[in-house]
Amino acid sequence: MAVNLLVEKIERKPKVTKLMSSKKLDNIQLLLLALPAIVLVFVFAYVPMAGIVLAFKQFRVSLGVFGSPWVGLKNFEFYFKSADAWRTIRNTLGMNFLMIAVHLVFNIAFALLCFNLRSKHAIKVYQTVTIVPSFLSWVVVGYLVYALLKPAGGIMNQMIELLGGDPVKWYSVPNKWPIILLLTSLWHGVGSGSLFYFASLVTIEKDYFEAASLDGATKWQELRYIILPFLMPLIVILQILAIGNIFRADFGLFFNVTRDSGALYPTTDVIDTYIFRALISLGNIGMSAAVGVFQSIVGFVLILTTNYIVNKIEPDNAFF
Amino acid sequence: MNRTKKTFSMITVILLAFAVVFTGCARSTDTGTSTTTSAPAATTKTADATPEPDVLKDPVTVIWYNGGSDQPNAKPVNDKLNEILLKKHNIQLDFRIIDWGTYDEKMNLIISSGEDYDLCFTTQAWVNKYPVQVGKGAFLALDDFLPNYPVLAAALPEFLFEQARTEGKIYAVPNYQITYSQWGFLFRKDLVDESGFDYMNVKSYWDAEPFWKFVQDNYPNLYPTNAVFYDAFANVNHDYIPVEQSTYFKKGDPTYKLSMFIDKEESMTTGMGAYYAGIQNRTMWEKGYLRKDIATVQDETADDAAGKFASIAGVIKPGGEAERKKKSANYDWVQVGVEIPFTTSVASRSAMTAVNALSKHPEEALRMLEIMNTDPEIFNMLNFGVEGVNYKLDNGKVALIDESGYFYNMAWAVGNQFNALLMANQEDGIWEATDKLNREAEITPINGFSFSNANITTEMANVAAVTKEFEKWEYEDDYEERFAQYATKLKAAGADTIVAEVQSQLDAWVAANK
Amino acid sequence: MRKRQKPQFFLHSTAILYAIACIIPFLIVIAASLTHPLELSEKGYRLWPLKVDLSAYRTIFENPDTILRSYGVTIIVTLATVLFGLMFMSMAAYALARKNCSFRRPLSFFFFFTMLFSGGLVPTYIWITQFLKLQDTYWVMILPSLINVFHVFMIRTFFQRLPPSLYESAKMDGATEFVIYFKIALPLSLPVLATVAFFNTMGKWNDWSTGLYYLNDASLYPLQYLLYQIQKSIQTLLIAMNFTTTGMGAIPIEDIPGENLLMAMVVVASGPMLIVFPFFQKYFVKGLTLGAVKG
Repeated sequence: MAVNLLVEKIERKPKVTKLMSSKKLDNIQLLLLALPAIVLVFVFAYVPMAGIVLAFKQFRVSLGVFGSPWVGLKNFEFYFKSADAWRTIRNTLGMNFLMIAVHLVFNIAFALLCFNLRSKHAIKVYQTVTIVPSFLSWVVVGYLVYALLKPAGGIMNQMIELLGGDPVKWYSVPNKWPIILLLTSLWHGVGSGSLFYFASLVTIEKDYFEAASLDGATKWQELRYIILPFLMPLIVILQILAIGNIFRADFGLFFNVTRDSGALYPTTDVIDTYIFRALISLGNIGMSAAVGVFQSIVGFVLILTTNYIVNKIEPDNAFF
Repeated sequence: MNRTKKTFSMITVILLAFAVVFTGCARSTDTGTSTTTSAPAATTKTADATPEPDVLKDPVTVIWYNGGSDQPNAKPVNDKLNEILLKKHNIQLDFRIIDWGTYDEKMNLIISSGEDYDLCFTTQAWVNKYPVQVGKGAFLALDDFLPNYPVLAAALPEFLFEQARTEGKIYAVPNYQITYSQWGFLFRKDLVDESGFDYMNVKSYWDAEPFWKFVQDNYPNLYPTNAVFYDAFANVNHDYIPVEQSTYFKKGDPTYKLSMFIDKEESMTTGMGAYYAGIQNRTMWEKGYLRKDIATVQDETADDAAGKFASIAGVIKPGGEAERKKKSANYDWVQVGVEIPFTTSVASRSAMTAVNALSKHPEEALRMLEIMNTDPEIFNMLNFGVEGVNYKLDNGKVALIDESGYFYNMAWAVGNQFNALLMANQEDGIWEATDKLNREAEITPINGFSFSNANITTEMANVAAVTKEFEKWEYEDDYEERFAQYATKLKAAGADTIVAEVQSQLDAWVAANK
Repeated sequence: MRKRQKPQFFLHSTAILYAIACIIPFLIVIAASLTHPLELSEKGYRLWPLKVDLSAYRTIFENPDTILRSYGVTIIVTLATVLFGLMFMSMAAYALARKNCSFRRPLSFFFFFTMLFSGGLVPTYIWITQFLKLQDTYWVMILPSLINVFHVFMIRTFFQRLPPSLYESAKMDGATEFVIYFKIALPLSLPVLATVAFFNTMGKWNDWSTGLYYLNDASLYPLQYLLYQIQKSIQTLLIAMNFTTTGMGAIPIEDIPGENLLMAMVVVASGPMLIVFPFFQKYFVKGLTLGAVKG
């Protein structure tokens, strides 16, 4: 390494002039490389941002986006004064926190489980099988859940009846859905989510474990003193990213798996489904845009905070 | 330097590949879309090829959105249709079909974004909701235009237009089809014959009991009926006039006092409302006339298709027996009306066509509507395709030609149903009979009253959620307790607010119109 | 060693139970697709059909155009999105990663900002349909999803972690930025590219909402949207039927497909992928593992 540096130092000097002259060329080349992405992002992300004005307008089709009258913060007022605001914010935050926490535990648990298996072949089989749900779209997952929960003839109700219980009208009892959605999302995500941790675990030097077992460390101590500290950076980064997005819910999950059932809204209506409905069913474009802007602003604050924290912990992972 | 060259050539190669793939894509999309959406372009071309000397003005193309299933081979039909439209009416049609499942969502996006179109299908409460879109200013008020289209106005009964009136103006033209509703029973003919049951004399719900009893005793594997007790059976003579949101007032009541009959005593004394109906249903169920698992069954179409029901309650209309025969394993059916035929204030709003508020040529749009409602040739070609290619006429009735790729068959969604050709399973004279009954049916005393739900959307959603939660409460063991909860929750969800809102709008309407 | 046998047994049984739980719903769906609709409504769903009934599959394969076409569309769109997306994203990520890039910071912000704000559905819809006129084309399924800013940053981070000496020595050899990108950065970052490709493939394969907004032409429906649309149609028609039974309207209803047909569609649309994807999955795991080593 030292030799290398020395060589570089020696060689760099005479080249300085050449580097300076090529700096411009470098920049042009880099710009060319970035150009397709710049154009695409500009066209598909920046141009539509002009539409944010809709949040401050009372939209009339006949007057168009820019011709519609300004109404100030009325659209926001309408949302925040409705009972829906509290409900959607609570559901979004609550479900997301719950999912982040439980996913973390299960992802690591399953990664550890695989890590502790000795048969390489078995690991491969388990991982291959458990990742299968991740390949299914939420539309398909919606169908699968329906086969389980269909009130008449669904598997769950058949089992309940077999055990002598009363069948449950699943798609109209809201209080059962936080747990149903949580389980569905675990089922869908743990297989692939645990792979990150597993991939990281297999890179731990074997020496640590050998030394630990020579010292007579228990499995628990191994976990506490070797594995967790090793995983910590990854855990922190992934969680912080998740928390930065906590104001955005997985639309596909909340929309398709619940079959958009109105009776379930008390617990399953999240900001994203609300925006969709305000737009598509109620046709309230102004409010839909307003809620979207509100979501963006909160997301903005959260991501800035996140970025700040990431910068403190692992500057390499920071966005800017 | 050499390396740079290599890199550049590599980039060039990749970009070329990129270009090839995408031009490939573009080309295939061209062919893809031309079959369904770019019909007008194609037809303009044919028009160019055979120039019509007598055509003075360039024909306008009317864009019309409607629901239905995608027609794989629509282009030849559209071309032919436009050829005739050009010759007869000097107008062109770009008919765009959206699947029913996503019609609501897509129409909302199209309307919200101010996309260019002229006509669209709209309904009161099902898809592309009329009150919502009128509220957004999406549709054109037609009052000033209609007098210029006397043929259209003459083709449809007047009360039809009145029913479309909302906020003082007419924003859509109802598609003329069956407008009244009449509840009654359908009985399986073989069982009626066998039991000798006098079905023609069924005048109320429980009059059908002897038949059910017969089925129960003799055919234990059949369900005697699916006929749960709806409001319609409580109100066979229309002593109570339905208004909106399940509210009613007593016929002749000068105060027009509305009620939802949530209160148990009120429900029992009037025979209206959920409690009375629930008790009837429970009795039926306990007597074994309804399927045992009725509390959890949601979709009975499969049982129906297998012919497991001996009788069915439903809307009675001319030709209803044949329709039912098709649905229920080809058994023959007989039907009897129990309720008097009645036309509610928004009955015709179940299928209408509206003109886009931003339409570039509203006159032509209405002209197209007039054609579709009065020119059977055009109307039937749109619905059934080209004769000899997509269908044959067999004794004057439509017989499909298999695999021709076109069978739109949405007469009720497009225009005047009564101009449609008959299908093989439809009786002769069915449209004439329906039209006659339409005009004879008792019309609600508040014809023309329409309700705006803008102030109570929250309450409506809440009430709908509660209703769904307590659906089929009457089959639970503790049904009295369940109903008590139901009633309490309904009130908490804002049922009274809804009644008050409907009442105030009705009062205002009465003051202005009576 | 023998002492360790026991925990191994517990680990295996837990893993097996979890694996079974992952598959069971799919088995139920397969069973339902093989059941006669009447039996399905009478007996309900079960793990194994009492009597195998192939009518649903017969219906589908009598007229396989729809589903085959959807397969074709989905494959084309997924391939194009993943390949070109990977190319453009890694190119941009490279520019962001190079310290000698003088517009690095503004460009970072340019990308990053789109993670915070978006124009919302209606403006995007207006822009894409009325100005770009991309509705009912392959483009609308590909172009907007080529760049995922989050993935750009992921790749950038990876590029940054490559030993700086690699870039420097290449520079000294007179290599241009293009060459360094193609010859050094790209080959060395295969792990992260594989990971991003994996996510993109899954995302695009499972995308159903683009169709909902921008596609009307049935010949362009991707698989997932086709499934969504069928389910929505049934729901919508059942609602309409509800209106007729309550006497409110008089909307005549077409035949509603049975649930067995629905479930058969699910099997045909997602089954083959469940066999193909796990095969690729092992490369992705390798990619992740390698990535972790580098990280």
